Order: sequence, then C-alpha cells, then structure tokens
Amino acid sequence: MSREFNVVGKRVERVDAYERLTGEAKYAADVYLPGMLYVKVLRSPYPHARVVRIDASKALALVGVKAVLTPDDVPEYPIHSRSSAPVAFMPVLARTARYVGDEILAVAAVDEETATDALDLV
Amino acid sequence: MDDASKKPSDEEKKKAAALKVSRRDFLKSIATTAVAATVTTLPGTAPDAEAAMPSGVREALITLNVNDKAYRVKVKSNWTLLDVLRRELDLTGTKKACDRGNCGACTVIVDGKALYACSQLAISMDRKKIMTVEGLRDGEKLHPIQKAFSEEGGYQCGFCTSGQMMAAKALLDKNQNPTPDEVRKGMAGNLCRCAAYPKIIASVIKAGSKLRGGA
Repeated sequence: MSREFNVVGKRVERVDAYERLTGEAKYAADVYLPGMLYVKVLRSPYPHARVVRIDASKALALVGVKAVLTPDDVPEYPIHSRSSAPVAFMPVLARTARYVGDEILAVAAVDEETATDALDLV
Repeated sequence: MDDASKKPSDEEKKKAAALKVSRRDFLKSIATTAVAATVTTLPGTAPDAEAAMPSGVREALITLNVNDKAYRVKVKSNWTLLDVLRRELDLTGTKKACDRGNCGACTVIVDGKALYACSQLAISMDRKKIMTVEGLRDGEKLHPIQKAFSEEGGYQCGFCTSGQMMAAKALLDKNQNPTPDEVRKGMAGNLCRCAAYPKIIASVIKAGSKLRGGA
C-alpha cells in the first residue's frame, strides 16, 4: 500500500486545542453554580472499625451547613447477578470501616471551608 | 512480627499531634497577622448571612492586577490567590489540583516570578502584577508558547497545561534557549499525571525557538 494518508502519520491540530491552551475549557472543577453546595466526606482513620455512634449535632448547628448524610440516610445499593433478585448489597457509607479512608459520613455546606470545619465537629 | 517497643506510645502520639498544624489553621493564623500589616480591613466585620466566620479571619478589600486589568475584590483573610482567581474573578484557567504547593497546576506569574497561587494569601497579592494563562494570548492571537504546545502536542487532558505554560514563560523569560535538561530543571515544579513530559519538553524548546525568531 503506497497511498498518501491525510491524517495518519501527519501532525493534526486537536479540535479542542484552543480551549485547553487558552484556559477557556471548563473542566468539572471549574463549574460554579449559584446556590451550589460543597460536600466533604468523613473518612475512617482506622483500617477496620465498627461505627458505634454518630453525633453530628454540632456540625449541623454550624452556620452554612445544609445537610449531613450518615449510613442510615443512604441505602445500600443492590448488586445484581443473572437473576432479578440482588445477590448482595454494597454500602455507600460504611457502618463498618474496612480500610483507612472508608467513607463514613458526608457533609454539605455553602462553601468548602465550612464543610471542612463541619467535619471536625462530628 | 509485632515489636511492641517500636510502636509510638500514646504519649508520643499526643506530642506529635500537638505539633501538627492543619493547613487550614495555619492559613487562618498567618492571615490575621498579614491583614493587620497590609490592607485596609473592612470595619465591623459582620459575618455574611450564609457562612460562619471562623475566629481570626477578617474581611478586606484588595486590588488585584491580573493580566493588566485591575480588580477590586472583597476577600477573607484566609483565602488563597488561587481561590480568588477562580471563584471571585471567574478566571478558571488556573487550576486547583493539589492545593498544597506540590503539583504546580496553579502556577501563575507574580511580578515576574512563577509562584503557586494555592500557596499565596490573596491579601498578600494586593497591588502586585499577576499574569495567568488567560493573559498569554493577545486578543485572538495565541502566544508563541501556546502555539508551540499546540504544534508539539505537549498536553493530553490539558489540566496541568496552564501551569506548565506559565512555568515555561517564566523559564523562557530568563533563558530563551534552554537545553532539554535545563527545561527539566526549570519546570521541575510542574507535575503531569498524563505523563506528557517528553512532549512538554519539546513544546518548551519549540517555544524558545519561536521566541528567538524562528519557526
């Protein structure tokens, strides 16, 4: 095959070159919407631990905190195999932490700083 | 094989924890002293209705000179330049990746020097001359650095690219004809998770050639 190619083996400018190189391209992290909330997750500092009790009252009382999600608030999601009935349930927020960093609860607040401060109050 | 004598005692752990300062607390603590020294603080800092005002944090009115444009902004004393650029000035070209002075995605040029925007308090940038990636191009005309990155394909996802190009500008402003090793050294503060490094280096060298009047 001795055809000349138009694109293969040639330098082609990418369609998205302009936006990426000028900083105009909006990545997910660049989107700021009015009324937007920021979520921070409280993660287990222990590799294997059972959550005995959660007291998020001080976090909820913090001005700017809009919601706190605990394992009780978020249903485990079903994992289906071939049958219609689920074969297992996967926790979203852990009642039993299984690694350092396992998500225990989530806080939503009006800005990142408030959300981060709220985690300390749990 | 558990050697109990090697594990830190509870007392040692407490001592270590007492020395550790979180980044947030550090920013708050130096923010209070910085405000006192530099800027006109707004009187009677009433917390805004939405978020709580952490102790030690003040509000201040500063002037940011970004890409030859003066912006008058009301900021909190613990806000970083990066946050102000992105949230208050809608200049999202400068990216937040690590937010801890490690990766270089937030590289901007302040008074001719390449700095990490995440590691500068906004109030300390009052009246300084700041250039971000948005300031590279001249209207519709792309900067030679941008053209070089485009021609050499010095990017994949593009997230680190703003920082790379700002670091490249700072480097090329000092040395217009760097060798590949000089590029590696001069751009050592900019990481790329896509590992586009070989082409980034090629782009910077090409940019140098363009700036010297070549192609």
